[in-house]
Order: sequence, then structure tokens, then C-alpha cells
Amino acid sequence: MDMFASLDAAGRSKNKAMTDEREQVKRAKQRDAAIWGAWYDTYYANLFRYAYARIGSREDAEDLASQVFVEALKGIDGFNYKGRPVLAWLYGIALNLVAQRYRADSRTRTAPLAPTEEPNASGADAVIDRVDIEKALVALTPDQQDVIILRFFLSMSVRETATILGKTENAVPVLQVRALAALRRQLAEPESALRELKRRGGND
Amino acid sequence: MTNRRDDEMIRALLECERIVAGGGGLDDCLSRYPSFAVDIREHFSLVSELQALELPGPAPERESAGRSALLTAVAASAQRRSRGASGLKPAAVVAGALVALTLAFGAAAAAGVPGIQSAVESVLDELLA
Repeated sequence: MDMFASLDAAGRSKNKAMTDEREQVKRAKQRDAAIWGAWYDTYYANLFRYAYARIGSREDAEDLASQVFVEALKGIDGFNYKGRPVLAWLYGIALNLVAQRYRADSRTRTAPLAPTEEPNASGADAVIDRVDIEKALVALTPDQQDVIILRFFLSMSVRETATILGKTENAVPVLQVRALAALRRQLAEPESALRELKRRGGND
Repeated sequence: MTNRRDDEMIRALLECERIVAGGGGLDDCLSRYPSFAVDIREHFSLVSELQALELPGPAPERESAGRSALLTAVAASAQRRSRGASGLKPAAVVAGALVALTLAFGAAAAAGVPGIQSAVESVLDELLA
């Protein structure tokens, strides 16, 4: 699904969508609660998932996703719409908030992610694998983390990912392949291997 | 891994991505780049794992509390703009907005949403600016 067009009826042209977004931005600048509510309803969950994947705490991710909209409200008067999707603008705010958080707290995500989430019997493998991958993700560069989160966790297209990260569509596949190679190297680290052995031993 | 081999592997993986995206099979790719067979297999295995992962969603009550806080901030911001346009600065406007914010915060707290504090603080900043 093209999430940039999610506020628009299916099948509308790109120009029509841009016109609609331009109108939405205009109304948002007028503090139209309906627009802000619609943006929140449409984009909050994805911003939450992005934040969760980057900072690893569900509560903090919920706060950060909410904070994106508060910051957007603060900055809406200075937002000059030129066709770049609103969602990309919101992700830009989220990226900045995550970066601020990393600067403010260098201890962020040094602990295992989601350690308090107890896997249920049927989903044990899935949860352990997710935690392994999320832990390995921390060692990647911010750009590498972002491309994996946007492409795989949020199922964004190359075009959407390029728009959000401010890169060309040709650059995204290269970044993605390098990120996956780096992630594979991290997953092959001894700690991950030991965890995998323990997991398999526990399941036998 | 040397930088040169690393670069060659990246090129091979990019080409494999193109082959697979174009409807080709993994075997086509493996036969073209046999020296990177392990990397290619691991790469596509990881892609499959990542595509199968599901992140948790937000708690509905916290999502709802964040929405309420945002709409309160939007209303407060609209009032401030209106006040600025008329040149008036009625304390009652701020007081009213603060009461609304307190009610929203109370509702969030009653719903067990303590983490909404940062959003409320931002709204207060907006109100008191």
C-alpha cells in the first residue's frame, strides 16, 4: 500500500493527491482539528512502529509518536509544502526526535529490546528471533537502521523510503543491501550464536 | 572480508535482488555468482525473516490519550492565534485551555497512561509561550 496516499481515495492521480495534501496543510495551519485528528489516526501507528524499532521501548515509542504531532503543530506555520508528502515530513520529525534521544541518553538500547515481553508458547521462536534482530540492529548506522525499518518493518517502497531518508531511489537498494550485510555480520556474532544454541537446546 | 570482496558481494547481491524482483529464481543468481553462494543464501534468508517479523502495535488507550492531548494543543494553539489576531490576551483563554488540558491529562491518568507526560508538557509549553 502507498501510505503517502492513505488520506486520499484510491485511484486518485498523484497531482490530485498533492493538491489534497496542499489543502490539508493549509487547513492544518488554520488549526483545523479534523485534519490533525485525521493525520494522527492515519500515521500514528506507523510512527509508533518506527520509534519502537529504533528505541526498543513500547511506552517510550508511544510517547515519541505522540510527540511527533505536537512538534508538527509547533512547526506547521513554517512548513512550506512543495509536494513532499506530509508523512515524510512527520517521519523527518520522528528521525530528529530519535536522534535527540540518542544524544540525550547514550545508554539508549544497550539493554535487550522488549525484554519484558514474555513469548507465548506458540510464538516463542518468533519473539526470540525478533529480539535478536532488533539487538543486532542497534550496531548498524542510523541510515542502515532506518532503511531496514522502513523497507521491512513498515513495508515501504523504495520510492517512499528514498523520500523519507532524503536519498535517491538508486541509493536506497545499495544502502539496503549494505545494511542487510551488516545485519548478517551482527547476527553472526558469538553472542547471537550462543543465544541461538540456548534457544534450540531449550526447545529440544 | 576485504573491501574488494565486500564490494563485489554487494554488487552480486544487488544484481540478485534485481533478478528475483524481475521474477527470476534464486538458482539463476547462484549459478551466476557461485563464489558468493553462502552470502546470497543468507541474504535472502534474512530478507524472508525480516518480512515475516511483526512489531507490536501501540496500546489503544495510550494512542487515544495522545490524540486527546494533540487536539487540546490544536485548540489552544487556535485560541492563541485568534487572540494574537485580535490583539487581546485574555487570561481566561489560557485558563480555559489549562482546565481542558488538566481534564485530558486526568482522563489519561485514569486510563493508566502515565507516559503521556511529555506530550502534556509540550502542550503546556505551547499554552504558556
